[in-house]
Amino acid sequence: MICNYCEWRCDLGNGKPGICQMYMEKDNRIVEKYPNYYTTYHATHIESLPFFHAYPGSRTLQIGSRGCNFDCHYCSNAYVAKSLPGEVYTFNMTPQRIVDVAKQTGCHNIVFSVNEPTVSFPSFLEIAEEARISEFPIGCMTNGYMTQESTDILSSVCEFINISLKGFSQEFYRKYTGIPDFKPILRNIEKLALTNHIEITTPIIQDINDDKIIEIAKFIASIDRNIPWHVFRLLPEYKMEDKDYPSIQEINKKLEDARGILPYIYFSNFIGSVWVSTHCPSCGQKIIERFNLGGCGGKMVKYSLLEDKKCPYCGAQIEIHGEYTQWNSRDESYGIRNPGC
Amino acid sequence: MAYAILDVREWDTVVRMDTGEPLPMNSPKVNTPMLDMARQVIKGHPYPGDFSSKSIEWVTDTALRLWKTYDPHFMFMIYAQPGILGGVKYMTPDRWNSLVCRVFQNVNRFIEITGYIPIIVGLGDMVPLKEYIDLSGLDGIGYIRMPNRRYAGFYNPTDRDISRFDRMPGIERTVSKCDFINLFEPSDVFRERLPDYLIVAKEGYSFKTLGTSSRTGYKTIAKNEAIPVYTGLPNTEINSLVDLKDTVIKNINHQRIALILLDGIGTKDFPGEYRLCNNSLYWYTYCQGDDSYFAVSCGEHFQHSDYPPGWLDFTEDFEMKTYPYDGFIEKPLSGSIGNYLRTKMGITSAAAGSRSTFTHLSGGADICIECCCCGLYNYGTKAVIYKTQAS
Ligand code: SF4
Repeated sequence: MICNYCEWRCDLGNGKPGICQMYMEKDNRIVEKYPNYYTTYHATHIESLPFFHAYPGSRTLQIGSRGCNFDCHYCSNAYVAKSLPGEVYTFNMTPQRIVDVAKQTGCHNIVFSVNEPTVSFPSFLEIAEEARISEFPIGCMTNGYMTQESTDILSSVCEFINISLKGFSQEFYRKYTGIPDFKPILRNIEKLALTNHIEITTPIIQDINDDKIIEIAKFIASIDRNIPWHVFRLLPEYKMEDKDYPSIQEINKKLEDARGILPYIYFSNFIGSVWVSTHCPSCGQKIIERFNLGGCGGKMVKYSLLEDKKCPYCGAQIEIHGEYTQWNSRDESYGIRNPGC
Repeated sequence: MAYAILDVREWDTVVRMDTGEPLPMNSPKVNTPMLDMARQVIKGHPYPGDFSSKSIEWVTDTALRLWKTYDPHFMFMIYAQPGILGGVKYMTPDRWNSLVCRVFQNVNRFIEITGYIPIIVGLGDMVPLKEYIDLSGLDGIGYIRMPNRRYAGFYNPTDRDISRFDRMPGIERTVSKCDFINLFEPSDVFRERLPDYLIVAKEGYSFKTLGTSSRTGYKTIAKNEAIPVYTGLPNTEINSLVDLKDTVIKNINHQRIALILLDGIGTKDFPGEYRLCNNSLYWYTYCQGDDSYFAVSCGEHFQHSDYPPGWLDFTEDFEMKTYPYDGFIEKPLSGSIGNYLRTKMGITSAAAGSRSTFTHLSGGADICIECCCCGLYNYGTKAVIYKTQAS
C-alpha cells in the first residue's frame, strides 16, 4: 500500500516503515503511528519562525511533532526531526486542547513548524479544522516535498506557508537532503504562490549552496518578486558539525546582487543581523523594523505602515498578508492576567 | 549608557542596550577605548558553542584576556557547562567526572595565573531525571521559565486541575498566589506577575509544559538546601547565598577578588575543602536560574526581584520592550554587584561566562563577555560595556 503524503510515495505494505517512519498500513488505510503527539507547544512572535509579511506583530502558538522525510546533513532540529520513538518526550494533545491553549495564551494564530507537517498530516489537518471553527489562522513551515494531492489539501487549510528551498540543484538535494528529485518542490512553490501567502527560506551552507543564490532569487522573482526570501546562515550541526562557521560578510556579498532581483531579502540566524527589517521597495525607507536577538527570523520592534498597508513615506503598496496585530491584544480577553490576591 | 558588541566571528555590530538600536560604525560612541578593548577580546575569543569541549577553557581564556587588557579589581565568572550539558547530554559517570574535573582545572588555572582571591560557589548538584510532570493535559496553562525546571506557574486552574495536582506523583507542593504572598511578602512587581499557582516538583522530577525545550533530558537540578562555597578570604562568614555580595564588598578594598559561579556542581562533586551555605528560603530552594544568579549578585532573596518563577514572561515581550537583548529583563539590575562596585566604590570589574545574558545581568561588571546561546544554539559572542569611559 502506497503512502501518498509526500513524493517519496513509500510502499508501507507488509509492515514496511517508510522513509519518515511516521505512518503504517492498517485496515487498508495509511494511518499515523503517533496521532496527536507533539514535541513542543510554545507562544512566540510570528517573526521568529519566520513569517515577516503575515500578521505582523502577532503571537503564534508554535507546535511541532517528530520525524521528517528528509535527512538534511546540517539539520538544526535533528534531535526532534530525526529522533526515534521514545527518544524524545511527546505531549498527547487533542486538536481541541491545542486550540484551547492558543486561546488561553493570547495567541492570534497557530503554526506547525519545528519539523515537517507532512509526516503528521492527519493530525495537522484536525488541528486546522478545529482552528477554523475558532477562527484562528493556520500556517506551517514545510520542505515542500508534498505530493500534488497533499499540496492541494495544505493550500486549502493554511493561510500562510513558509517553504524551504534548500538548494537549486539535483545534486545538492540528493547529497545533502537525501531526496532524489527537487522538481516537485519547485512545482509546489509555484502552485502555492497562486493560492496562499508564501515566504521562502534557504539555509546557506558556505561553499556548498551559496553559488545558487542568484538562481534561487531569479526563480522566486519569476513567480512573484514580492515573495519574501529568508536566507539563514547555517550553524555547523548534526552531520556537519565539524564544518567551519560560515562567513556573514561573504554570504552577504553574494546576497547584494540578489537584492536587485528581489525587494524582500532577509538574512538571519545570527545575533544582531542588520538585514531583518523591511524597506520600502519604492523609496527605500525602513518601514518595518526588526531585531535579530539570536535565532531564525527576528522580533518586530516597529511597524510604520499605514492602515491600508501603504508606505508612510511614499505611499507604495506593501505586500502584507493579514492585519498588523498588537502582541498583547488578546491577553485580557483570555484571562491570562490574574488580578491578584 | 550601556552598549553591546554582538560578534558573529568576522562580523559584528554595536547596539545600545536600552533600545537595541544599532549604531553606525563611524559613531564616536562605537570608537571608544573601552569598546575597542572589548572588541579585541571577543575577536580573539569567539564562543565555541555549548556542546564544544572547548567552552570550559573559553571562560578561563576570556577572563585571562580581560585581566591582561583591563586589569579589573573584581572578576565575575560563570562556568555553565556542567549544568547545561548535564541536563541534555547522556554522560557516563567517568565522562561527568572528567567534565567536573576540567571545570576545576580551569578555575585553578585562572586563579594561579592571576592571583585573585577566589570565592567559588557550586550552585547545586544535578540528579538523574526520574520522570517528567506533564501539565499539557490540564485545563489551565502551566508554564516554566527556563532554566528553572522545578517550579511551574499555573494559570486559570479549574477545580478539576487543583484536584489533579494532588494526584500527580512528582509534585511536592502547590502554592496559591495568596499563600505565596503571605509567606514571602514579595516586591510589588513580583507580586503582580505571580501565577495563580506555583507548582513545585520533587527532586528528580521536571516539568513538561508550554515553553519547555524538546531536547531530551538526562539530569535535572537537585533540591539542595545548602551549596558548597570555597573562599580564600580569611575570617569570613557566609551563611547564605545572599551573603556573597556583602562578603565581596567587605573585602574588596584589601584584595582582588574573583567570584566564580559553577552551574550543576554541588557538594557531590565539589573537590577539596568547602563550607556550606544556605540555598533556600522557607520551602523555596534555589534552582541555578536567574533566581540563584540574581540572589548572589544583588544580595537579596528571589522574591525581591521582579521575576517570579512560572511568570508568563512572553506576555510582556511587546514591540517596544526595553533592553531587547536581555530576554525577559526590562532594565539592568541596579543592585548587581558590578554596578555597586562601580557606582558606590569606584572599583573596576569584568565578567566572563558561558551562561549567556545572566553573565552581564548578574555580573553588572564594567565589561562583560558572554556567549549568545539560545536553546543551545550558538548565535555569537557578546560584550556588554556598562562603563563606557576608561579611567
Ligand atoms: S510521508 Fe513518510 S511514509 Fe509517506 S511517502 Fe512521505 S516519507 Fe514515505
